[in-house]
Amino acid sequence: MNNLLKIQGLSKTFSRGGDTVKALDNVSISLEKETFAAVSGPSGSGKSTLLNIVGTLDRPDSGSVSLEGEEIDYFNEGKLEDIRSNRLGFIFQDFNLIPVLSAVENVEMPLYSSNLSTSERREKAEQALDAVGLADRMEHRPNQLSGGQQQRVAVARALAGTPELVLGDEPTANLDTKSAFLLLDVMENLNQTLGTAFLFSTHDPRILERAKTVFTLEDGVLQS
Amino acid sequence: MKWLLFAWRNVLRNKRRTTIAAGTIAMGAIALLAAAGYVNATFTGLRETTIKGGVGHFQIGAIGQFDGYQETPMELALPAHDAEAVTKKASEIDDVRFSMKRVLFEGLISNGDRTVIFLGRGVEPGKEKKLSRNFAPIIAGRSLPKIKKDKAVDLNKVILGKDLARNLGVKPGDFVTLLTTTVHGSLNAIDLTVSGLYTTGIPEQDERFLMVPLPIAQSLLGTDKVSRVVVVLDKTEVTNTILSNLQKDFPKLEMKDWLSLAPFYQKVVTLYQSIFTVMGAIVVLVVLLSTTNTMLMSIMERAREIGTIRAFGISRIRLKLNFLIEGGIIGLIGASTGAVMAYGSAQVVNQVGILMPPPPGMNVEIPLLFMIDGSYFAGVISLLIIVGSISAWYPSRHAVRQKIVDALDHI
Repeated sequence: MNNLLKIQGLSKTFSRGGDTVKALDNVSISLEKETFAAVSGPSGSGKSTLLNIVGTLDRPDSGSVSLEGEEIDYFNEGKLEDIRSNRLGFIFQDFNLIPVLSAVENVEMPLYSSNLSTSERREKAEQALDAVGLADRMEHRPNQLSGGQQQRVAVARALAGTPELVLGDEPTANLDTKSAFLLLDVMENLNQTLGTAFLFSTHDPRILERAKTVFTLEDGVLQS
Repeated sequence: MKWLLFAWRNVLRNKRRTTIAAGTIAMGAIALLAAAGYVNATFTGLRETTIKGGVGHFQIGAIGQFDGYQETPMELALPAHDAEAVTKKASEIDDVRFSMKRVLFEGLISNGDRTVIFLGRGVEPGKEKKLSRNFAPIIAGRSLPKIKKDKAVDLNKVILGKDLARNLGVKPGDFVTLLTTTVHGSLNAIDLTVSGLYTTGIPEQDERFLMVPLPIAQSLLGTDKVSRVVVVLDKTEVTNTILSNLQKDFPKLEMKDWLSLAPFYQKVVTLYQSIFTVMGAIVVLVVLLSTTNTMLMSIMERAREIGTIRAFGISRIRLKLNFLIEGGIIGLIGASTGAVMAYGSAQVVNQVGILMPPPPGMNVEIPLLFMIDGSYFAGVISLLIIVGSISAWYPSRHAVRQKIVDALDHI
């Protein structure tokens, strides 16, 4: 079985200022292991909502999400924490690094809830930073790094726990072209060498060109 | 350790805000320690005043002596041999300064024209003065003569409370007659010279009380018994130890420590403790509200970070605990700083010797003292660490309950 993620009939509605907005409408997607996929669509099409639900950061109104055949129980906070900690990685548009921690400490942070020893944790974080080409920036604080470097730290952080799936919400949106390409090279390389699956929400054509699979959403509806 | 380091870094993140929060806690620590130190000094002063005011560290009597009611005079008094034995034994104990005997009696006093009731005390004047320099403060005439074994002294003297003397219309040098019932039930009287007049500062006592040398009281009552033996120690702290050791040697005698004999002391302590508790609670509440406000700002501006950390699978409890650690660290910094400042200030004030106005019933200024012992420092620092943690509790509870997606959208 090569199926990593199976989304079936996913719907999500938001109420804003008395209006009801259907962010996702009966979306069904399947994603294979080791894939490099993207969800595209205009602003407000439901890309981020889809990623948030897959990432267990939000709950669907209806439908189901299965990770490696196991359906996610969105009402079991302990299991959700476990999934986020061990099976998923996140890359945010604004990097979201912790400013009081160095690059290597930021990468270590998701491993705090693991059973790794201090030295094992540090070794994993250093390897992840090395993999994204930041071996010489380990002790730098986020404010001492460029935007591109910060996002690569975020990629290292997402990968440190060796997750099955890394979710990226517009990861190149705040990067210049050079940094964006560098980041894409790094992620593509990691996808191929580590076999980690990537799923991005984006309308950046640079990502869409390189994605093996692209899902398009419009007004919460998956376009065939 | 990793979480502690993370909490420490967050504490240092906004140094100005941390300084303000820690400063508030430091002020709270100073206020609490100053109040505790002042109250402690007051308790200690009152304790020593009570002991030296005549109560002694503990008193020894026959069983029932301290209950107050006796059918006949000296019914519950100590036989002379018991009084001697216990006095001798007490004198062999290292921390005992001395012990002295007293006879308590009552009767009528007359100057020939007028007769009034009195409450009398037979004392050993030399030892009473050793206990307190303020023993029977004389306002007219002279005090009682010291009893000397090797020298004949005219002991037929009496000192009267000033209002008792006024009621009788007598002055030093006049003669009065004391009339009382002996231990055998017969009436006995003795003529004495008024040696002096004294005041206790309490009108009710000045109106009824008189004192005579111990042998005169015993002679009047027709006995060699004593009502009580008063034991005076070098230090108050050993009172209970010495009392219980002596009690083992004399199980048939009743012994009461100064605290049991001075119920007003406990009332004053209770009153002061109530005042201190209320004041302390107000200080703690002010510190708590102030630091909660600071922690609220500190935590809420990190909403996105909280969302990010939770997205990694770090649990709500873990995150909340870390905020409590942050609050505790600020509490520790503030309380320690306040403790050092309170200690330094107390040393300066104690050395300078500032005098306070005399309290009611006294005419002597009392020094302003702060006695802050180690347990107070430990207690206040621990309390304020907890206050610091509690101040982080509500903001952190609110922050970690927020939905992760909402927290991540926070600007």
